[in-house]
Amino acid sequence: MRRTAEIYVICIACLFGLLGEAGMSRADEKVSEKELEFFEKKIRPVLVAQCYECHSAEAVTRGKLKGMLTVDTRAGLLKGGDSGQAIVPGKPSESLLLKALRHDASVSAMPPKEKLLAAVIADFEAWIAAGAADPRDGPAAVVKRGLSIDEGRKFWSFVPPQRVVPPSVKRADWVRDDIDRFVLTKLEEQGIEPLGDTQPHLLLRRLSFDLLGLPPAPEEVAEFVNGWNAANAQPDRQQSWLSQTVDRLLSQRQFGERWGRHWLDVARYADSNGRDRNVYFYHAWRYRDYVIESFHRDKPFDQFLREQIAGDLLPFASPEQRDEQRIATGFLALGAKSFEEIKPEVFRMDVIDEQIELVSRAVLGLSVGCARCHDHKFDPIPTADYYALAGIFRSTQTLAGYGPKGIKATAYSHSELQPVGPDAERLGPDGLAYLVKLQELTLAQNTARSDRYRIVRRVADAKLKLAKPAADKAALEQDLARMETEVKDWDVKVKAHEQALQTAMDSAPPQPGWAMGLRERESSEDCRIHIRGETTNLGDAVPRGTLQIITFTDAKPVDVKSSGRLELADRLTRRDNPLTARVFVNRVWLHLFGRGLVTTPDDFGVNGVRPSHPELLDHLAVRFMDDGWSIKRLVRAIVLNRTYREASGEPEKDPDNVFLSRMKPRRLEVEAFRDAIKSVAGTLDLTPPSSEQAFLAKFNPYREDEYRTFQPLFTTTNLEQSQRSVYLPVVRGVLPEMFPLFDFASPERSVAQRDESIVPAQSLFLMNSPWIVEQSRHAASQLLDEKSLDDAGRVHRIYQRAFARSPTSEELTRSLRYLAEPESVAIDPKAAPPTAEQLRLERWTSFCQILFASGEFRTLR
Amino acid sequence: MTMTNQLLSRRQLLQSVSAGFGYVAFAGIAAEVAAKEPHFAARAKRIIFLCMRGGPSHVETLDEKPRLSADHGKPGRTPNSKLLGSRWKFQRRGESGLSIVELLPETGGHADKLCVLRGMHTDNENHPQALEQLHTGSFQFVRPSLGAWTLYGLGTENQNLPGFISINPLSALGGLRYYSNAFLPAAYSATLLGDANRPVKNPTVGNLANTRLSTAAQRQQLDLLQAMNRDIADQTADPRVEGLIESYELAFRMQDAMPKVMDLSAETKETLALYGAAGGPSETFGRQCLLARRFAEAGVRFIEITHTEWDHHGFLTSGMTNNCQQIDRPIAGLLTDLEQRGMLHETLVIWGGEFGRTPDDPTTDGRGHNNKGYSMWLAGGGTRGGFAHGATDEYGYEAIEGKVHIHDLHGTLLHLLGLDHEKLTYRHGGRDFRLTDVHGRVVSEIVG
Repeated sequence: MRRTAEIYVICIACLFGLLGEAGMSRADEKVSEKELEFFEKKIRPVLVAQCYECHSAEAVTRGKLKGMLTVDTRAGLLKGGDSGQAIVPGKPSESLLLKALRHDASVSAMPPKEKLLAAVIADFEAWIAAGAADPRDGPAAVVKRGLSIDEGRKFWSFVPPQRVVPPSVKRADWVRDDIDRFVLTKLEEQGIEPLGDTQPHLLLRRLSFDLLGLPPAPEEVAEFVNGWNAANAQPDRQQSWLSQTVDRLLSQRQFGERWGRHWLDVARYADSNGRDRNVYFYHAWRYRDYVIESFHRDKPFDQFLREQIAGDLLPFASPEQRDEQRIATGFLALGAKSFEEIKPEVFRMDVIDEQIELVSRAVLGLSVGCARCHDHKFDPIPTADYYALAGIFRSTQTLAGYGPKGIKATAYSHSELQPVGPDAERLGPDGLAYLVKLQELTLAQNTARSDRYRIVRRVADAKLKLAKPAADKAALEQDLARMETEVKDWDVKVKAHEQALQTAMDSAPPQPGWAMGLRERESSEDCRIHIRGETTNLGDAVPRGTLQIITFTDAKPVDVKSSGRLELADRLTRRDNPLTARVFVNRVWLHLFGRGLVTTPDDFGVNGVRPSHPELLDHLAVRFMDDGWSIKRLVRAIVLNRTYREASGEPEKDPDNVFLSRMKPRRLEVEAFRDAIKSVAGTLDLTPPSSEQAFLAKFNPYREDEYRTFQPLFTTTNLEQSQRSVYLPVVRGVLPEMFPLFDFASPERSVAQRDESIVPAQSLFLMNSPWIVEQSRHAASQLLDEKSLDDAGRVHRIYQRAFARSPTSEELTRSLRYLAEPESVAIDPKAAPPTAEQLRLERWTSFCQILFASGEFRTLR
Repeated sequence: MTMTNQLLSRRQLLQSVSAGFGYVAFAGIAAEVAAKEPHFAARAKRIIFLCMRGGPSHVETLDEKPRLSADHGKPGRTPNSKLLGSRWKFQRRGESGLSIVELLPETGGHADKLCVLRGMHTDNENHPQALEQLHTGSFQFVRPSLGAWTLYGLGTENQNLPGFISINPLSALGGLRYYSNAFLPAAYSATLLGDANRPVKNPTVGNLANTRLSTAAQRQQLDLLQAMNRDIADQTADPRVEGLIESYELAFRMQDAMPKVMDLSAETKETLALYGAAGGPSETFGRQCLLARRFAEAGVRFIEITHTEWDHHGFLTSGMTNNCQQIDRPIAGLLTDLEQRGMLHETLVIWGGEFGRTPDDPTTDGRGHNNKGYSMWLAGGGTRGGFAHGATDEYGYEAIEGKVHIHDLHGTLLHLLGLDHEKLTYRHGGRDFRLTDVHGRVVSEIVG
């Protein structure tokens, strides 16, 4: 199989005057004319025609070099490439080049597309055996890779965050906190004036969506605006009024739902596998709820990370804590897996690859994945570091079971889960044995079914043949009779298998709760380097460990008996880790301002963008760690600053708002958008679903027959429930209709920043979808039910709910004029004609729909 | 070009209205899909891809194997298998004498337009992976689809319609990944028409129709909405609101334009008959091919139609017969129609599945998956007609000559569209991505 060997080369052949040391030895010896003639006639033409395209100085220049091997000089052949020395003069059997030409399984076959003629390969063998005479002097082309570790240590993001003295500013009265000082000093340098505070109702709307993902109720708006205006001209009182409000918001569970979802983007959370076998992860929701709960309770971020990487290895004081920590490790089990992969080793390394990429992107803001095949093109991440991490995950078992689905294709066991709940220890073993049995019985049943079907097919074949005139009727009929008896036998066997499965399910032992996650393998092992990422091309083993670039001198080595996940968790959350805190505070900033201080939130490497405010970034990172990695304190500190309070308006300078002179208008994410519509329409249930109500819990994992088709039972439009969007199932490839339309984070991979697209399909959804009409009709009938209000009062009410403000007189007039007419609906000739009352409801429905579809509703300004 | 004029007038309008600021947003979406210049002179302007899901047998369509027929019944390479010769004869068709199976008599009538690739090969022998690689080049990672890359490279010719349309798309088994924009901007994703799992005669686009309001009432509703949007655009200087306003207008126009293009009711009996769309086994695929031609004519850049059920592990005899009946006339009709309208030279038609099938099988009327050698054909769009490139071995197990990997095919298709597959890159996550990753060779032999 062709692996995507992402071999890149930046730099070009630098001709420095040294000959490779191996090159010297032959040059000194006397090479016979005959040998050289042989080379010129038999070898050189083949090398030029078959190899130079990818293995020469020119290939280096054109960025086409493969496998880091050049064969256009003697030195290049002797030096070799990723797999090692290409030829050993005099020893054909030790020469990789020859193995490659022979398409030997231990190396990459060369040329990759067509094997050379046997006679040509024999020439190469003879040439190497005779000493590989080669007149092509000169050094091998030199290829430059990314930063070395030493160079990397000097790069800004790999230097641990420094405590910075906040700068002094001219307008000291403007600032509320040090954060403001860092912002204002840059603005003053640039000669840009901050735009000034926004209006209080907009500030509350901003806070409410940013912290909770919900619009403020009209009463909350009124209360906040009154308090704000009453404290007008008294900055201290205003500040204290604001902080009271912020504290109230932070204490609500909806904060956990809002901010937990940000982490779920990074964690590529999903309730199904996706890919070729899109089976459900019935138990994934426990991890989702764990994340929400952790943000709600303001679990220190370092602890949160430690639990997700090594929660099963941490001490616990109670069964609840044990469960919580076990569930946390679901983080690494939720990746999309190729269950159809039939090579277990490839499957295993693909799972590990996904885990490495996840940890590096989610926690460190680096992409390590490319080091699977070659040293990182830009960042100081050698391939060895990748395999140091790979050893940790190779020594870890991923528990991503989802119930017995009868998939034969992979060696993966589908029953691997961990028990949780008060009776986990007692019920776990029997429960797991039952799952394993179910898996076996399901497989046996499915195998019997397909065996039976095979004969059914042959019966059909025979019947077809029988219909042909030339058929040997007697023999065929005899065959047919025999096969029909066989089918009857199989009917009985299949029935027995089905019965056995049913009996097992009917006598199921009491089950504990199940969770996805990790546990240690029985024995730990280091991982060997997979040259070019190939499982069949193994190099040296690398001791388990983490990236050198985040490892400092006093790092604890990995305990030989364990996987090393504890050490990894420790490494990621130490104060001297240059990335973890920086990456996280930058994401918090991104969620509150719509733009990170580093605008590549998942690339803090050499190719990423440098921070706009490096001192502020360090200040936030150090402050975050000083504050015990408290996310709520960090969020609180930021939103209490003047910078967060600025109005959004037209800029004179700085169109991208790099210097933060104002607030960038932002679009609501799909969850906030949907929840806001449902909140205004009165159809949102803020109670989180209980475990029994979890969407997938409605489907019995062991009885649904989805294993026959491997297609989710849902469609994109029937994924509706009254709870908040964060609780909707994330079935990969079958997301709720609104989600992909409005830029939901693809659950296939870790996403730090969502897209903001504007496409007509969104407009069509808001103009025409049954869902938006239904929500609008709810909102309309609620308004019409408020008998104490007149139409003007109703317009006021819906404006308050939707926009946190009253309509202007012009807007009111315009709205009332629209509402005065009955709706002109498409008439169904078979139904009774609509009443005036119905047409009035339809008109209000259209009106509410306009508000939901409007730019103002979807924009946070 | 009219497109450019529209764009300019819109630009001027926006600049005068809001000091150029709103233009930023409009440019954001419009520029993404506006028609763009190719890298070099293009042979083809658009693609119609007829995707045969399941992997049609090459030895029963385009790759005649006399030796296989001669050795019929002898042991095959697959354990417990026997070699299985084609039940159908091949015929020399057209002036070129291209060999095509008798099951495809009408398509065979266009032999001189077909450029058959007999040395196709791909990396994986499972349907989902192979289909994903066929569409995106990769089966390990989510990557943009060929259609998305095409639209990214060339933009659209009609801003009232989507630029990439997939008719009867596969939605199961991760199918949506085959048509995704992945990391490319959302404007390049496919608009899906129908669903191969739930086939209907007249597939439509999601939320395209408003069944509740009369058109006048909807326009009235939209007018109030747009008035509110303009207010907010003025107040906030949020460039995206301008984009939003434009997006609603485009959606409104699409409601009108899409059904018009999709409305086949005014097509003559002769046209329907040409496509085999007047009834019978070829009706559905015939209507879809006619639809594809109408989209192509209206300026859609990339149109794909999926035809399913080519996974003939069993019932090969009836399966091939039925499938060929379903596709033969529609394809012939499409090629005739494109030629008559003078569109064939700039429309690249592609036919093929995710892989081919084994020459042997343990059953007597079925074939397994074969990713090592199979056939596809191209027509129009600057390809060399009446020509076969490459070959499999004497039984059809493996491609041995003129091998064309999926990456090579992709590179070649982009080449025909005037795009250099090594230069059509998109920066994402710190590096430049290509449809062909680090692979791909333009198969210049097949360029006419």
